[in-house]
Amino acid sequence: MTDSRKAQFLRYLLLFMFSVFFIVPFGYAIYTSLLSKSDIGHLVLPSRWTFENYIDIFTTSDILIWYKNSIIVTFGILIGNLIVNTMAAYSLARLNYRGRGVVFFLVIGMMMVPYQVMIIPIFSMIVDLKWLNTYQGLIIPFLFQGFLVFLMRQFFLTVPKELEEAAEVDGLNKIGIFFRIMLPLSKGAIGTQIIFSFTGTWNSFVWPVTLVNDSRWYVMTVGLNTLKNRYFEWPNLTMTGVVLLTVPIIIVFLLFQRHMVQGIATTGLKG
Amino acid sequence: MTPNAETNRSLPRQKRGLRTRLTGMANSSTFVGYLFVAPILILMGIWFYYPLVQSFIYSFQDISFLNPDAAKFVGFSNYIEIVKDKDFWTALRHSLLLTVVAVPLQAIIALVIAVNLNKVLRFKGVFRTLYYMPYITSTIAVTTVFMYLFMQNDGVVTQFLTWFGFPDVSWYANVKYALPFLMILTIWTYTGFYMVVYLGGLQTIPNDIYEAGVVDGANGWQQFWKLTVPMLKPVTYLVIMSGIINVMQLFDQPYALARNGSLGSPAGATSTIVTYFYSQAFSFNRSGYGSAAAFIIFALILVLSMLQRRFMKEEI
Repeated sequence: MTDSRKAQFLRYLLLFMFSVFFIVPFGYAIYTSLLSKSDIGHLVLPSRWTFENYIDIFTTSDILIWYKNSIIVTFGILIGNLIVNTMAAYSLARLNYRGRGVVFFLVIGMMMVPYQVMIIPIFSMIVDLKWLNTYQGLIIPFLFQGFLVFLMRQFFLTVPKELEEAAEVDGLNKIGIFFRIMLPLSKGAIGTQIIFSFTGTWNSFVWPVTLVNDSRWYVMTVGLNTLKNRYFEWPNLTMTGVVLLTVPIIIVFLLFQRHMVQGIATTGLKG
Repeated sequence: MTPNAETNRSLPRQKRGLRTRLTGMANSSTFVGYLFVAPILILMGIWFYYPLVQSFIYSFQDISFLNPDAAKFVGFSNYIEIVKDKDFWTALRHSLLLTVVAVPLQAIIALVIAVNLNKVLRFKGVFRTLYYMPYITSTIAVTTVFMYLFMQNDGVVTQFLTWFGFPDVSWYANVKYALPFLMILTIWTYTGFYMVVYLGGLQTIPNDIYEAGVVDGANGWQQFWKLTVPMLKPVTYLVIMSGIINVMQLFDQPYALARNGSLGSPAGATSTIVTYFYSQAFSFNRSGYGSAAAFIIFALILVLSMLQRRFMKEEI
C-alpha cells in the first residue's frame, strides 16, 4: 500500500505535468493582459508590465455596465433559487400530502430535458411580455432548478427524524421546524446550492445572448464575446476582458469549493 | 357607541379563532407541504412545462417568430425535412465524433490523475483546486484564450505542436483542425471536474480490500485493474453519462470561435447538433423546424444514455 519514495516522486511528476497543461491558458491570459501594445507576443520582464489595458477597457467599453448586469442577474437568480428550491426540497423530503410523488416526478423530470426544447417558446413569451432587454427577462424564468431541489432533498433526508419529533414535542409547528431546525442544519447544503447557482448563472451564455440584443443589457459573458470579436487583433485587450470575467468566479469558487466537492459526493455517487 | 363596543368585545374572540386556525394549518403536513411547493409549481408550470408543451406543438407546425399568427399544422414534415437535411447529418456526425473521442479520453485522464492524487501525501488540495478551475471558468473566456494559443504564427501551442509535425495554421479557422481544436477545448474543460468525481469515488473504497489484495500478492498494476477499476464502476457510469450529455450539448465554444461568421464556421466544420438547432431557430427564424430539431436532440440524448446504461450493465 505505502509508496516508495520513488513512486511518490513519479506521482508528483505526473501531477505536475498535468498542472502545466491546466495552468498555461490561465497564465497566458494574465500575462498578456499586462502587456502594452508594443510588447504583444514577446516575453518581457515584470518591470515592463502595465495596467493600462485595464484602464483602457474600463474607460472605453461598457464593461462596468456589463459587470453591474451580471451581478444583478446572478444575485437575483441565486436568491430566488435558494428560496424556491429549499422550500420545495423540504416539502418533498419531509411532508406528507397527496400528489407529492407527482410533484417530485415533475421536478426530477426537468433534469432530463435539454434547454433547446424550451428556449424557442420562452423567447416568444419574453418578446410578448416585452421583457427583451430587461432584468426580469433574464431572472424570472430561471428562479428554480430541478437538480438543486434534488440535491437539497437528498440532504434533508439525512436529517434524523428524531430531531423533528423532539421539536414537535416542544411545540414547534412545521414551518417553525423548517426555519429553526432544518435551515440552521443545512448551511453546508446551502453552500453547495450557492456555488452551483452562482457559477451556472455567471458563466451562462446561450440564454443572455438570446434574450438580449441591446449592448447596454449585456452580461459579462456576452460582453466579452463581442469584445473579442471587435478587438481580436489586440490580445492584450481581450485577455483583460477574460481576466475580469474570470476573477469573480475564482474568488467565489475558492470561498465555497468545499461545498462543491461535498455536493458532488452526495448527489453524484448516488447516480 | 353601542355597536362599536359590541365589535370591540367580539374582536379578541375572532382573533383567537383565526390564530388557532393558523397554528392548525402550520401544523398540518398537507397545508405546509402544498404551501412550500407552490412557488416551484407555479414557476415550473409557466417557465418549463408550458414551454415544453408549446414547443412540442410548434414542432408539428410551420411557424416563424416573425409571423406567429400564420402558423399552420404540417404533421411530421419538419421532422422529415430534418432527416433529409445533409447539414443535420454533418452536425450529428461532428457531435458524435466529439463525444466518442472526448468522453473516453477525459474519463481516462481524470481517472489517472485521481488515482495518483489520491495516493499523494501532500498538496492534495492545491492540485485538486488547480485541476478544477477550468470547469468553473466561462466557456467564452476559455474559447477566447484557446483561440490565441492555437493561432497561426503567434499561437504558443500552435508553435509547440509544429515540432511534432503539425502545420502552422490557426486551428479554429482551419476546416481540418477546427474539430480537433474543439475536442482539445472540451477535454481541457471537463477533465478536472471528472477528476474530482473520481476522487470522491476513490475515497469510498475501503482500504482493507487493498490489504487483502496485497496478501494475495497483487502488484500495483493488478490492484488498479482488478480492484480500483471495478470498484469505481458506478462512478465511471456517472462520468460517461454526464460526459455524453455535456458534449452533445456543445454550443458556446463553436459560437465563440465563429466570431462574426455564421455558426459552425469555418465552413460548417464546427457545426454541432445544437448549433444546427440554434441557427435554424434564431438565424432563420424557423420556430417550428427548430422545435422539431430540439426534440430530436432530446431523443438522441435519451437513446444514448439508455444505450450506455445497457452497455455498462452487461459488463458487470
